[in-house]
Amino acid sequence: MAPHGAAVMAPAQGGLRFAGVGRVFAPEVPGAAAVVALDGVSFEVAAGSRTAIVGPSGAGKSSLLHIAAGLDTGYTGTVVRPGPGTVVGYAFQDHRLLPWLTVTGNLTFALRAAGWPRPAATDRALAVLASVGLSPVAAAYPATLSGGMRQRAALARAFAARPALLLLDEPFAAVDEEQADELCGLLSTEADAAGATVLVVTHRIREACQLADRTVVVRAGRVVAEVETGRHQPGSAGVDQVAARLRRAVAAATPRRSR
Amino acid sequence: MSSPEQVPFPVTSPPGALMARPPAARPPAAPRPAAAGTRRGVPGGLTVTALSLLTLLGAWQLAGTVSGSAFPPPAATARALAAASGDGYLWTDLAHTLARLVLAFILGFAASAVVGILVGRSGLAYRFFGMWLTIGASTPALLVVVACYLAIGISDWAAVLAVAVIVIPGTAAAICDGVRATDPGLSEMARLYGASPGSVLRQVVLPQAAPWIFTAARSCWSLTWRIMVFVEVIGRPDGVGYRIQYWFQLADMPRAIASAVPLIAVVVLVDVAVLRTIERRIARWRPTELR
Repeated sequence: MAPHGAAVMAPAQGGLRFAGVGRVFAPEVPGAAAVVALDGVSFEVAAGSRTAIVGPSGAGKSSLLHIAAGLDTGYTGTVVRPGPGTVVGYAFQDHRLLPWLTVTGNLTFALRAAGWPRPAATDRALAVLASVGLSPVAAAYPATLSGGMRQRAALARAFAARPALLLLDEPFAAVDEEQADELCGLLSTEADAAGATVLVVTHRIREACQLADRTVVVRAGRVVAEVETGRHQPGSAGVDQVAARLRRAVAAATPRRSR
Repeated sequence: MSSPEQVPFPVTSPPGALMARPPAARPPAAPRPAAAGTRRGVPGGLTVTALSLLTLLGAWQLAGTVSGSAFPPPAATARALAAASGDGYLWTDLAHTLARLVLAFILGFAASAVVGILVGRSGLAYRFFGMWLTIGASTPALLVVVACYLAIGISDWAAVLAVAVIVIPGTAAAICDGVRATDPGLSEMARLYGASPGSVLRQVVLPQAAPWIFTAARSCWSLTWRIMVFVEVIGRPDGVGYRIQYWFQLADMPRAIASAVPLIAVVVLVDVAVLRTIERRIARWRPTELR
């Protein structure tokens, strides 16, 4: 077994590869059992492609995203991910906006950190906020926004700097279905413009079908199915067909409860 | 990947997408100016402050009446203050003490900030130096003062250094606690987005620790002047501390208290007008009820 955190940095391709990745968390309470979050996970995300990870809560989806971002190095197995210096965008489930900066300030912060000069960063931040419908609250602090608006701001921050690797953890959990469809379209456009590799964790099968080329179904820390979902326009017939196929795959991978 | 300068910043949202819909929830909230002590349903800050000062004066009057000559009431102190301002010592003593006080505060707080941030940011430094701070805070101030006077000689610089050394452990420990209480998720986010360690410290850690740092600054300021007066009693031929001791030896309590009143006024003014104003300005992003 490879040592903890064994990662081979890919050259400039920008893709992701997980090979036999395992992650065990030590018990929080002495004497309790360790938690196996990931157990031999293997799949690949080609550079410029989009992959969705679906699965129930506690399946290990967010752990995969953390490892992909390089935030967690306590895994076993091999992870190939873009090298240092790659611009990464990450929409966290808990938004992680800096509360002392305005919404514009939060986007500018990410852009400046990615190397954008100040005037260009401000222009880009305002343009991105307009695209997600947050112009009216551009000068507001995050504490004054609703949960949905905060999530949109966090999503805008994630793709503002045109990242090569875009990681999204339940990006539309706090917005309604109609807004989620619109944000999906916007996200697709931005990811295409940046040529980004996208890995998105979601509970909603519809989102997976609209956003991703391929969907990986994870259960209890293992990959139980991989389905080619294609990218479908929100509301198109293709979405429903692929969603049905994906649901069948999920159902087939779900152990039946004995009565 | 293209460099940031080459990116043309296109607005890539589908036409008529989310722009058409007004924001769903609360109205846009521009940053509100900090309300100085006002809360809904509570009398204005100025009224409460005036009532508070009047109550304090009343308590002083009562204590002066009960204790007799040991603790002169406000009127007797005011008469002594008027007499003292005429003999010239009052203002030169105040100037000497303030000069020492400002130097000691700058030195002590700057050193505390450096130590507190370093110890707070590093687990190893925290484990190694944490006990030093505890021991430093537990060391009798008199011991430090005597050591400084013996090491440097009885001088203004020894007094300044002694006070700075005394305030460092407690202030550094408070700043260290503030730095350690910051949300690691925000630093993680900043690093992921490519922020340098210096940028993470300046733009993510310090803004979060600012409330602790300002509480530490106010506490440091208060402790600095108390210790400075004490240090002046021991080894200086001038200053407010020396003058209090002088009038005490002559058993003239109104003049002793009058010697301290201008310093108390300046110290309170700095706390209210400078430190709290900066603190409120920095905390303007916080919800009103948390300020």
